[in-house]
Amino acid sequence: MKDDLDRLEKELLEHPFDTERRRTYAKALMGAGRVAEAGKQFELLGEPLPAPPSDAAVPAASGLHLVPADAAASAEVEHETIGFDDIVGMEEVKKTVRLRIIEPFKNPGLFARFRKKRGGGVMLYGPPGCGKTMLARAVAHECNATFIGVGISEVLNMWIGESERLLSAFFERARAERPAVLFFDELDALAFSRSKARSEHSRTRVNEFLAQLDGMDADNDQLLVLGATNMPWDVDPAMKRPGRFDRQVFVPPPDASARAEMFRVKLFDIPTEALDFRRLAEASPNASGADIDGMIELAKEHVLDEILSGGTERPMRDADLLAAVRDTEPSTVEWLRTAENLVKYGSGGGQYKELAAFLRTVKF
Amino acid sequence: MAEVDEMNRCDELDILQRKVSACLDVDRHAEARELLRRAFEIDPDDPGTLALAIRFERRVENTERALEVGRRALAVAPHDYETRFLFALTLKDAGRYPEAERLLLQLIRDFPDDPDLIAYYGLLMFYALHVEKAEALGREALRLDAENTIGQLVANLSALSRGDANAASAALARALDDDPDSEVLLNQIGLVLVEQGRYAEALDVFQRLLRTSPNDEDYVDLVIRLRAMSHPLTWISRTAQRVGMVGMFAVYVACIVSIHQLNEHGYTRAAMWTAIAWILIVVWSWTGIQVMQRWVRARGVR
Ligand SMILES: Nc1ncnc2c1ncn2[C@@H]1O[C@H](COP(=O)(O)OP(=O)(O)OP(=O)(O)O)[C@@H](O)[C@H]1O
Ligand SMILES: [Mg+2]
Repeated sequence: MKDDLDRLEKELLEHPFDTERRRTYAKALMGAGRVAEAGKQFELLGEPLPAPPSDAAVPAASGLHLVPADAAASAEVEHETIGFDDIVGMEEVKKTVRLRIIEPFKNPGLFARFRKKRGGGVMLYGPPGCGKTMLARAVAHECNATFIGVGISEVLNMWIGESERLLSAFFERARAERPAVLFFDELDALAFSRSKARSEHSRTRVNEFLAQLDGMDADNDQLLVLGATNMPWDVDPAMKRPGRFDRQVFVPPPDASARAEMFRVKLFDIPTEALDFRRLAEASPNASGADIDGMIELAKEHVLDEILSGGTERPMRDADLLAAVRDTEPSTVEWLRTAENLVKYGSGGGQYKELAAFLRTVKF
Repeated sequence: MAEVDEMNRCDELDILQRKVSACLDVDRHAEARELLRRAFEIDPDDPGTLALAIRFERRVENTERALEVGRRALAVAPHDYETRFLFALTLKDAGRYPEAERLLLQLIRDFPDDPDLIAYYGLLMFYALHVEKAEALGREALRLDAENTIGQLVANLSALSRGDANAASAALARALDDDPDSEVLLNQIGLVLVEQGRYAEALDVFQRLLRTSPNDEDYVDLVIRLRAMSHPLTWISRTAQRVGMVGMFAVYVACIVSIHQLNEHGYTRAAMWTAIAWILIVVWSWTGIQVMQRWVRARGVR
């Protein structure tokens, strides 16, 4: 089992763009009960996380979830792409992204005529679980472009292998697949500020990454470079210079109406009573999209638990969800406090204008 | 077959350890924790993994856990340089200076020309308030390796605590030429500026540091304090601090005398106003900085 995982991981390291291999690897991770890592892989594939094995012990031992690499399994899970319509709320961000990223990409001519520079890459930043990765995938979809995602596990694999060669492989691949979106998730890891670096290694890696980005400059037609991070302050300042990630977009936590809508959309095909979505939204200030996913899972568990332990089958009620909301700490608060330190005491508002404006409007 | 298995196992462990190390380099603690867990699953007693675990626990400031892991690591690899070194640093973190000193001295005996060991020994002496010894050790470390950052840190901290801010700032200016963005250096420069009473400049430095580490509450407190200290309205408080108790007492006596004199010569109103003004000044000189800090915390720093 372990060996299989090992082998798959190594293969993936050799063929980072093989979605079939990645899917197999993700499923194997799932089978081994490493759900969080599997989640990251599925996220990169743009596929929903399958339900975890009901009895983790059985598949982990038997390897039932190991699908051979050549299985036709892909047919049923065919690229279920995420578009803007799948992202709930965030109207402002969508508008910004459309104007500043998608339209320039689709209409380079128009922007050239207005002498509007298209610039380099775009960095999405904001609290965890609020849809940055989702948004990046959606951008690729809206641009009709191939999506090539580089996540933390790719980055780590790169660092223990020949990082230079592997990094340039991503760029080459993106160039070959144009129109393409090359997405660096968790950008802070790949571009960790050199002034904070604890080893010469990480400084060298950042230099390599910078060189790649600059090399791309020559021929970046139909190639969009996106990055996402929770910790923009950890990203090396040189990354934000012109031609690199020179445009930054803040992805805020969902507001009350977006949260209500999220509950509605995500509970759409679940048996429920008539639910008071406004009340749920009001009870969950500062919850992220991922928090809401978690709350719904918690409520489901509660209901199923009750049904299975002798009760009769019943739909989900407001009370189930409200209890789950109460039991969940919103995961954006710590981030918002940190961001407040930056803006309020560090005079960082100039650098992060959208963030500063947002902080003036929320309580946490 | 068994041999092949063993080889794969070593490979996997090696890969995991390199990944942990990379994660620690870039402050990815959640990932590092998960990778460490997997590495321990393969071999709970691997010295390399144990050393990484000490580094991890120190990084997340869990000193108790670091000590625990450290003891386990030493039991497995009592002669390993890194393990012993990391354990000594952990003892230092825990404030157990004599034990840390003993361990570092043993290490220095085994590796007499290692500038890192000597520099950290100096740092330990600095924490234990043996400044002269610290300074000598800092010098020795720098003699072995002029670039040694901990050696430089020790030298600067000792100079500062001797009240020789100029020596520290000259050394820092030289270091800064090589590495203008280094956070460690900036931090020291900030401390020098504070020591020299150049609060506005220190404020700039620490705000810059806060912008790169906004989750560091120490920087927040320092920035707030420096803003209060550099505000024109706290001039009286600062002056009071500078002239000290004796100076304030002299002013106090002078004031009582003058109020008394004014009263004697029939300037009662003037005497009263002088007294009121005096009381206000005294109260503000005691409380000004605190009040200003509250104000700054509420309003922020522009
Ligand atoms: N606007 C949204 N609409 C619908 N679902 C959302 C939205 N935002 C977040 N989610 C849910 O939260 C999950 C996490 O979102 P995503 O991975 O995009 O966040 P992220 O900002 O990239 O987080 P991290 O910083 O932790 O990587 C998604 O899989 C999705 O289910
Ligand atoms: Mg993400």
